[in-house]
Amino acid sequence: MTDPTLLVLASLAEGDKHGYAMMDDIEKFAGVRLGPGTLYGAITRLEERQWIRGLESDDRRRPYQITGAGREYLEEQVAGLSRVVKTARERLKPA
Amino acid sequence: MKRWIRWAARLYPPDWRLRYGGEFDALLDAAGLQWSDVADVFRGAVKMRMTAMMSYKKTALLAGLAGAVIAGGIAFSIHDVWACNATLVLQNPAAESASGLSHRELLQQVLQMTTEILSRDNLIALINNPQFDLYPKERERYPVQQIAENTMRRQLHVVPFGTGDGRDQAFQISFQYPDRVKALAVVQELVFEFHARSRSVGILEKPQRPEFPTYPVRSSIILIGLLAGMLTGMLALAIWRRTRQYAVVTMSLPKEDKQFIDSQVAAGSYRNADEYIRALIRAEGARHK
Repeated sequence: MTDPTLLVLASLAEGDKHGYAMMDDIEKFAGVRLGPGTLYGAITRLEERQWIRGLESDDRRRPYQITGAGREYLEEQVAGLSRVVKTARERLKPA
Repeated sequence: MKRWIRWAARLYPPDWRLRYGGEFDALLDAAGLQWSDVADVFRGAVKMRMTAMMSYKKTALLAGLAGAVIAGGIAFSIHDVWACNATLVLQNPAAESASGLSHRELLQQVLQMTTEILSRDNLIALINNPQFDLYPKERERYPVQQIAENTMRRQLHVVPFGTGDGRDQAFQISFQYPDRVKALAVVQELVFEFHARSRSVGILEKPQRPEFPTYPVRSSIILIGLLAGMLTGMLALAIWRRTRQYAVVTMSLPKEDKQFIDSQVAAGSYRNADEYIRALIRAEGARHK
């Protein structure tokens, strides 16, 4: 799973995070380092689709929160991926 | 390297910088950057620019199409108007002799005949003539005198023009009407009337049944609709973006903060809230350099 939008949603599913915290978290759980341009490209798209929302912040680092629609989308995608993983596992089993 | 990344970050569209610039710069400050991030940020900026341009193109295309369809609907709902023309000439009866009429006198004669033929009574007679049956719908609603003066007079013209040799006086009869057969019949009748008034009137160009309507020029109307649609679409998108950007930045602010922004704008330091917020972001960016 290397789609930056899914990685950001997966990161935010755990709790609200700002850009750097997302980058760090994604690197830890997925082993993928998203560059700043890629990360903020994903954030821009997700916010436009209203799957995440920016929260108020006292400093420059604005935290983001996953929305209900974003969570729903992530669940659909994960269910789809699970089916693919399950099928692939079954097919990889020695006959 | 950081300098290169910051340079690439400046390539993002201004709208994007306004919304995400502060936090993006904070991320660049905090993250351990790599050389590959220069390309990543550059690619991100190009993508954002392309997205901004594409949405303008898409909007212009869709709005232009909608404008063309609406204009097409209007253009095809307008009835055709056909113009029938005839060119006549008043020949100088004694051009070769010294007693021939001057050009001015010939013109006077043409104008005299025109005044008589296009008189109100004559126009009313033409309208009432069952052979032509002109303006049937209008006659149900308005008196025939009004139709003669307000409608027919605007559609029927006799225009004198020079023949080039200075001896004869040419003139053109033109009548515009929604029915090309009737337009032709009326012009033929007028040619006959001119001829009846003077034996010196000759025909340079016989009235012909028009092949194409003179109005409406549907292709032009559709083209105007297309262009107007494109412009309206792009303008609407630009306004929407500006108001949306303003809303995104200020919607989550507490009431007192909004009041403070309004007071700054009212004090005349800034033209609007947007400009004030831009100034704040610029100041914040300068503070962290």
